[in-house]
Amino acid sequence: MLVTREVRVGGPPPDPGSPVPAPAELVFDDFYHAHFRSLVVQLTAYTGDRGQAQDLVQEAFCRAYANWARLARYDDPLAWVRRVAWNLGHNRWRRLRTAQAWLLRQRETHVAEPSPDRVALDTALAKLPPKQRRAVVLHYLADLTVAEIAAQERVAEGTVKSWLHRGRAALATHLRDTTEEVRDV
Amino acid sequence: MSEQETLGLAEEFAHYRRTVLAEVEVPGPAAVRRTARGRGRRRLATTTATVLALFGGATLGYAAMSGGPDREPGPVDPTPTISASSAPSGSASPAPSPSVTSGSPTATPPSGKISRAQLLDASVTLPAWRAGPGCPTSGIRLSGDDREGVNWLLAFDQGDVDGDGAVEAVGLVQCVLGSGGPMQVVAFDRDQQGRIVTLGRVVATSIDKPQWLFALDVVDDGTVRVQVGDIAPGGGWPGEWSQRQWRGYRFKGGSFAQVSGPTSFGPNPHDVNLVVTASNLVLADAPDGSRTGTITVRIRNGGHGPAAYVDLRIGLPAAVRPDGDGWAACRNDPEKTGQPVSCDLNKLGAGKEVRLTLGFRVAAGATVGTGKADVDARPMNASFDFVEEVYDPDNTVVITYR
Repeated sequence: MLVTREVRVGGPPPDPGSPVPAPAELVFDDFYHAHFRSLVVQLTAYTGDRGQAQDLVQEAFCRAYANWARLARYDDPLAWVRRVAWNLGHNRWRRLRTAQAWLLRQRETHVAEPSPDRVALDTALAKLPPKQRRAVVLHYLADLTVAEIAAQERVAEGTVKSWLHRGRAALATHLRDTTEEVRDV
Repeated sequence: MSEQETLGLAEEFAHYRRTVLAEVEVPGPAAVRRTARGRGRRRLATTTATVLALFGGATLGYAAMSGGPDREPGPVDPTPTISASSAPSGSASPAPSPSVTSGSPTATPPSGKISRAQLLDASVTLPAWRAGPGCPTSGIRLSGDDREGVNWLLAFDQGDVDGDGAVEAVGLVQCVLGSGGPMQVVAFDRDQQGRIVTLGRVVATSIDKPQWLFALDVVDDGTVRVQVGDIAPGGGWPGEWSQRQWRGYRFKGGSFAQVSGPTSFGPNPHDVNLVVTASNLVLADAPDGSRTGTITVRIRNGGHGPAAYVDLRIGLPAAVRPDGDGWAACRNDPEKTGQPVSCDLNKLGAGKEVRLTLGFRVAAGATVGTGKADVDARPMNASFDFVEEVYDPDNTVVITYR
């Protein structure tokens, strides 16, 4: 069984007495609240756009809801939602549907400017090739192991290790450059 | 990478997580259920719109939809009932129309606020939708949700828009066709019998611009403010890309006219569509032992707005260097760029095209073999930031070199 490690945010705190609730009893609303925000963080890091990340994750949960009877019995339904959200994130074609979901909601969003604190990392991440970016974000923000990333990305573990190694090195360089630029100013 | 840097990265990400977590807006599981409910109804329409969008982007998709087969006109409500809220005339008239007892109809303004619920419950006649497939407009009821083919009441506000001292209702209505459909803002009043009647149209979307109406607000002086958008969202066009303007309208001489706000839109930076074609590179021996060749690159802007600048990138092997006069159009010095070789081009207006014949040279002794290379053109804005296009597969072509 894959272990769900995402930080639970916005949901009830985990009960130390019972480590994992029985999947069959999983309630959609609890599941949603437990994972929505942390998935948005990951997709924001991947896409560089929080508004879009929110739409992608909401769309992933819409699809999860449509399949909830089946999904709630999975060992790790979060892995399913995460994979859907990420697929939406790097599959441009699917973005069409997000736009339509946007339409259906007819909402008005005023996305705030990103905090300057995260601009440096956003900028550095944007310079990574998408595969390395995915591996690094899944490692640091979804707290996935190499094996779990390999399972999500459907590649060999060695490939993930290579992505992670190169991605981390490049990221450290980019961040160092940014910091030096800031110091130079 | 040092251990310190590894720890530094972990801390960077931890900080990032905290920062973004604080910013996240949560639509909630109820919104998921609403979407899921809506989807069952509109699955067919969505599929159609998606297919259209794949072939032409928002504008074509919308136009194709407008030119689609006429829908069967018919009653909106499958169970038409006697309009209960359209207060019957006469002395038995219920509360909303105290003015009905007045003997001089012109002297007393119709009163009785129209609530959203009353408007939804009334039989009304809307100003006609523009030519093409539309929704029924005569003796219909507005709908509180967005079922296909209904007149959907998207937004609602109240205010004395005609200056008669009584409060009228103003609604933003969309004729739901697929994921879009024309929209209009309509003002409603009560007649002397207390029936809800249409006062007039404030503004409507058009095939040109505005293609979308986002919001509605009636201010104290009776001005109806409408937030209009240049390009309709959908078909790959995110709503965030649409330019929005608040425009004000007043009721004068029996109709609404614009009194404030801008009256036109500037070009939309995203409404650009670069299309690239390029020929293959065939290198031939030159007398000095080097090898040279040219490619022809054609970049056309098929959108409705200009690209302030165009970034052209050619991903040939590093040993294949720019050569000759064909690069003069580049604002930068392509010879100083690495792999890919890049060339910043000046503004490319809507419908305009640039053709470049670009020379390359491989120094004597260097080998490049054969292979494939991407030729890629991206629009940039005046600040040299890349501008996303609604349809970008045609921004890149693959050429061969040998």
